[in-house]
Amino acid sequence: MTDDAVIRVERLTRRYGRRLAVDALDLTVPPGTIYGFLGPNGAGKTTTIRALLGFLRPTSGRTLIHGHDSWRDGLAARARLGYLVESGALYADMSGSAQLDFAARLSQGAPVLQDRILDALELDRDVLSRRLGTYSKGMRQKLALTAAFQTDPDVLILDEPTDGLDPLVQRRFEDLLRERVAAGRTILMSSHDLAEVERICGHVAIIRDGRLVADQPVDELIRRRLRVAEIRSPASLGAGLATVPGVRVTGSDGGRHRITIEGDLQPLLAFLGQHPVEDLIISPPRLEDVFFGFYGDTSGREDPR
Amino acid sequence: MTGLLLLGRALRQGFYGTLALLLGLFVFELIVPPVARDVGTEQLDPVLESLPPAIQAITRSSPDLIVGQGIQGYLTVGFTSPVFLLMICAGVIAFTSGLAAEMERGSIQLALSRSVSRLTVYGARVVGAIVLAAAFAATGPLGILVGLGLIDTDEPIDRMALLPTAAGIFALLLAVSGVTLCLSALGRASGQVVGWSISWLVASYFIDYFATLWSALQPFTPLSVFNYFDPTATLVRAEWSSDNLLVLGAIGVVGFVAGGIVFRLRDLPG
Repeated sequence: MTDDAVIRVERLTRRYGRRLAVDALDLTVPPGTIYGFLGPNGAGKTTTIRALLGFLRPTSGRTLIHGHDSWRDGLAARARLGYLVESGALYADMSGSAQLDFAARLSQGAPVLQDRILDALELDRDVLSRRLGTYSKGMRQKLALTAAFQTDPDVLILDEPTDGLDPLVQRRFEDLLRERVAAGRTILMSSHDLAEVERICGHVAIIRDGRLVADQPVDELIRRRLRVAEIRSPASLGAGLATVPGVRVTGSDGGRHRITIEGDLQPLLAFLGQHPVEDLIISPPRLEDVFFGFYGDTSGREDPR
Repeated sequence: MTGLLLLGRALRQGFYGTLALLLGLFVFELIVPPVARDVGTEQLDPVLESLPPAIQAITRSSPDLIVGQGIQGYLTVGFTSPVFLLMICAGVIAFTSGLAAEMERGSIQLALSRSVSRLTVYGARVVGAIVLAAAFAATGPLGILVGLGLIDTDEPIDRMALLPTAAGIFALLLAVSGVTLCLSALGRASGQVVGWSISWLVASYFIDYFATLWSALQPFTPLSVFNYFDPTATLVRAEWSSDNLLVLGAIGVVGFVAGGIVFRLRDLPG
């Protein structure tokens, strides 16, 4: 645990009645990183984020932003924080520009990045004069993102930031995130889009049943996890493949065998050298494979590529 | 500054609805003096006295105070009518249940995810509720005043009696606002809060109503908020009922404070 952590979660536990939503969770987000926070619905992501924002009181443990306890010292904790609210939370009776002005005044900061964000997200200035009630979901999301970023906060907490954005705008938004991190900002984001997290996050935490199951740099996490391979062979390799160290057969269909490989490739290559092989495709490990590995779902899936 | 910003936002939400209610209230009160004059209080007095007790109770009319008082007595109808009570209570309930509506929609996160305290958010609602209570309390008597200006009568009318009447309305609305804001701080959805608040007021109204018909209910009348709202006596006797004002004010303050404590400590609904 580093002393200069921007966000720190210490033994956070939260119960809802008898249900344990988060169980002694520890997280440390260093400055200048994009930190991915992954887990399916109900894993405890939202509870953790809400505790960080001071929206709920931990049953035990605590959350800190810039060293300030989110619950006990919330004003200081949120002093330089940007949070992406759900697009449905914006005021439907306000115009886009009034909404941005309102958000900036609440942040007590000048909207120095407003133009930059609006350009990146391709949100027309003309649209801003319209009431939010006339906006599409994507436009609302762009406005909510602009409201979160416009005062250039030191810390950004983004829950599903690209939800509702088209792929082109998503890529421009990703560039924007990289730009802010290069400027020294820290971003904690949750997403269901694992490919997106893999592209932009330097570090990722995976939460399962309220517990942390992985917390590492994305590259490192991927490297030490499974690769997925497909082998085509006229010979029946299934039983033999299963005996190769680090190899697990996830499916066989005639001459096609799908396997996962953990660790060194040499034993597999040595085994294949003794058998006729028509084709061998080894896919680089991806965050998605890692994620489903933690959730024990790899065996049931087709090759995800 | 942030508090003022939030107050402005809260007051702007539902602004046109509130304005329509205030206008409706003004017009409702405005027509009371001309109607009393045109129908004639000599004709109205025997009708009022012949009303069955149940009707007298539900309209909260008090023949013993009104009969013989001329137009001054019939002005009280403007403040005892269920229509009047419905309009003023609807105005403040709609506003104070707005806190729960903001939690339900998530809009409250806009402020609370920034360096804005929960007490600032809540305080803006309290100030807004007081402003609205004052607006509704002033509008009714103002309508009566303008209505009196429209009629030509030689009867002596004590216009100053409208001041303690307005104070009584203000105190009643403070109590309704305090309780509803407290419910709003506790609740998860505005519909739920409106339901609780209306149930409380309806129960209060019927305790007050049935107690006049069934003496067994008399011991329970102190539990009714309407037990402390008597515009007829106030307007006819031109007296300040400090006991009633204190009780209603205390209910309001306790509601506001309890709501503030709850809102400070509660989890925001997700």
